[in-house]
Amino acid sequence: MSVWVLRAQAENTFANSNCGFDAVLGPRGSQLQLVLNSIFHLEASPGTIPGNTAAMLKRNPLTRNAVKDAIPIAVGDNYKGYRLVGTTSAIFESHEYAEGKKFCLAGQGSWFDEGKKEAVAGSFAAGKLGLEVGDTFKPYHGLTYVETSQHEDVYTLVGILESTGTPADRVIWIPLKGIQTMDGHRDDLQDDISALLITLRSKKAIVMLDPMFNKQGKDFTFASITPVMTQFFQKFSWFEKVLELVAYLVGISAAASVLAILYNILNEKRREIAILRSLGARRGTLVSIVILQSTGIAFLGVLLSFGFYFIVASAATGIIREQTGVVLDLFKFQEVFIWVPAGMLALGVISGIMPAVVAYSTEVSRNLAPTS
Amino acid sequence: MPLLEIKDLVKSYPSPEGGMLKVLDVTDFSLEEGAMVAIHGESGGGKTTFLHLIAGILQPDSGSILFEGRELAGMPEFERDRLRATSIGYIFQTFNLLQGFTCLENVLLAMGFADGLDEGRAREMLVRVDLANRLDHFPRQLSIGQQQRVAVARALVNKPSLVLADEPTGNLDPVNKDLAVELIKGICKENGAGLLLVSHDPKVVSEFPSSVSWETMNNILAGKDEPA
Repeated sequence: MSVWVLRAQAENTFANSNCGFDAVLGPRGSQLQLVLNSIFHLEASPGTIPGNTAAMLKRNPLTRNAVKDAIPIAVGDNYKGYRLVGTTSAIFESHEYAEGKKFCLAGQGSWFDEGKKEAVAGSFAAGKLGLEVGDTFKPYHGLTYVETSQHEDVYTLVGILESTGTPADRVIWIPLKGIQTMDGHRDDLQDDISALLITLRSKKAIVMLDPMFNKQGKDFTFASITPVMTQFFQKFSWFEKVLELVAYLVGISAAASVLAILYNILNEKRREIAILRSLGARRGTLVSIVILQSTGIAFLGVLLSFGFYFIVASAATGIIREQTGVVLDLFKFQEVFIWVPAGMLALGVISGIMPAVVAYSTEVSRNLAPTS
Repeated sequence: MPLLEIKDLVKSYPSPEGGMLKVLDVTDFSLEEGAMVAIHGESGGGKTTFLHLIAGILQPDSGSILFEGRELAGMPEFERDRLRATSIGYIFQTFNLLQGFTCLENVLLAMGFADGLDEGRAREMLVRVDLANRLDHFPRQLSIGQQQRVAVARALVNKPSLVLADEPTGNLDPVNKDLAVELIKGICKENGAGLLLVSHDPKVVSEFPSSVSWETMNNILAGKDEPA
C-alpha cells in the first residue's frame, strides 16, 4: 500500500507542484533538467539564456498573446547547500503560487529591494539554516556547498516566507541582479538569466509554443511542467510493476500462512471442535467462528499495515520534503485505501475456507474419545 | 409419557475388513421423567454409541428414539444440535473441558449454544459444585475431582431434562468417585432431570435405584443377534 500511495501521491504532487507556473523557457537542452532546476531547484543548471528573452516574448505577437507572465530566475550560488535564486519582486507581489494564493511573509519583515543585497528565505531553508530576519550571510559559489568557495558579498535577510508546501520553501530568494553581479561571476554573462518561469493565458497555448521553440527554433527549450513530470514518473512504471508484483506475492504468502496456521491449529483441535458440537454448537456456527477468526487475523493485519504505512510514508514524506520542498498529503483519500484492505480481508476469508471445512467435517463421535 | 423411549435401535459402523459391523441392537428401553437409571457393562460394548444416539450426535441405521415425544431419528441435524444444547446434558469420562477457557467460561460456553449467557446462573452452578473459589482457574490448574465437578456444572447449567453420563467416575479415585455420583444424582434430583449413567463399575451402579445390564440390553452382546 505504501508503494502505491507514495507513488501516486508523488506523481500527482510533483506534476502539480509547479509553483503556479505552466512552463519554463530555458537554454537548449533537456526539458526534464530545465524543470527540475527551475521549479524544483534540483539538478545542475542547463545554462543561460539572454536577459532580454522576456522582452523578446513581449515583442512577438504570437508569444505576447499566449504568455500572461514571465518571471526571470538566475541560479548559480548557494548558502550552506540551500540554493540562492535570483528573481524579481514580481514573484512575490503579483504571482500566485497556487490558485488564489500569493507568497506571504511569516511575521515581521519585507520583500527584498531589487537594488540592495537583501534576501527572503523560504520557511524550510530558514528553519534548517537557523536564519532570522536581520541576519547577514555570505553566499557560496555554485549549487553545491563548498566551504572554500565563499563570495565576499554580504546579504541581509529581510523576510521569511510562510510555508507553502512547494519547492519555494527550500530556497533563498535574492534580487536577480544579485546573482548576475555576484563577486566572481563572469562579466560577459551579467545580463543572462537561467530561465523564464512562464504563466500562460490558456493551457492551449502549449500546443503552439512547444513546436515554436523546440522544433522550429534552436536557441531555447520550452518545457511544459506537468507533462514533463508525468513523463518522468512514467519512466519508473516498470519499477512500480515490480513492486506491485512483490506486494501481491507478500499478500498471497500472508494468506497462505494464515491458512496453514489455522488448518494445523484446527487439525490439532478436532477434539475441541467435537466438544463444542457435543455442547450443541452447530456446524455453521463453527464455520462462522473459523471464518471470523481468519478475517479477524486479516483485519489485524490491515490495522498493522496502516500503522506501518504511516510510519514508512511519514519517513518518506520527510525525506521528499527535505530534498525537494514538496509536501505529500498522506491523508488524502486514495482508492488504494479501500481496495487494499478489502483485498486483505477477502484473502482472510478465503484462507479461512479450508480450515472451516475441517471444522465442518469433524466427526463428533470419533473425536470424543475415549468410548465405553 | 416417558422422557425417553427407544424401540428397535440399530447402529453399524464400517469395519476395517470392509462391509458394516453391527455394534448395537436395542429392542426396547425407556426412561421416565426424573428417573435415574444406571447401565452397567464392560468397556467396548457400544454403550457410548448408545448415548451418542440418544444425544443426537449419531444417527441410527434404524429404529426409533422418542425424546420428550419427539422423534430424534431422522430429525434435521440443526434441530438435534438445538436439543442437545437446551435439553440434554452430557458428562464425559474425560470431562472434555476446553483447556483454554476458565471454569466459568467453560460453563458459560454451554449456555452460549442454548438460550444465552447468564453469568449469575453459571456462577451459581459452580458454587453448587463447591468451586466458588475456582471460577477463574483453568482446567489444568484443578484436581481431577474438581475438573469433574466443572463438567457436571456445565452439563446441568441449562437445566436439561435428561443428563447422560458416560463413565463419569472412570478417572476418579474411590473417594471422589462416591462424591461425584452423589453430586450428579443430587443436582439431577434438584432439577428434576432424568439421569442415564453408564458405568463398568459395580459399586457405582449399586448406588442407583434402578440399573440394567448392557449385555442384556444389547442384543448383539446377548447373543440374540449376530453381527452383520
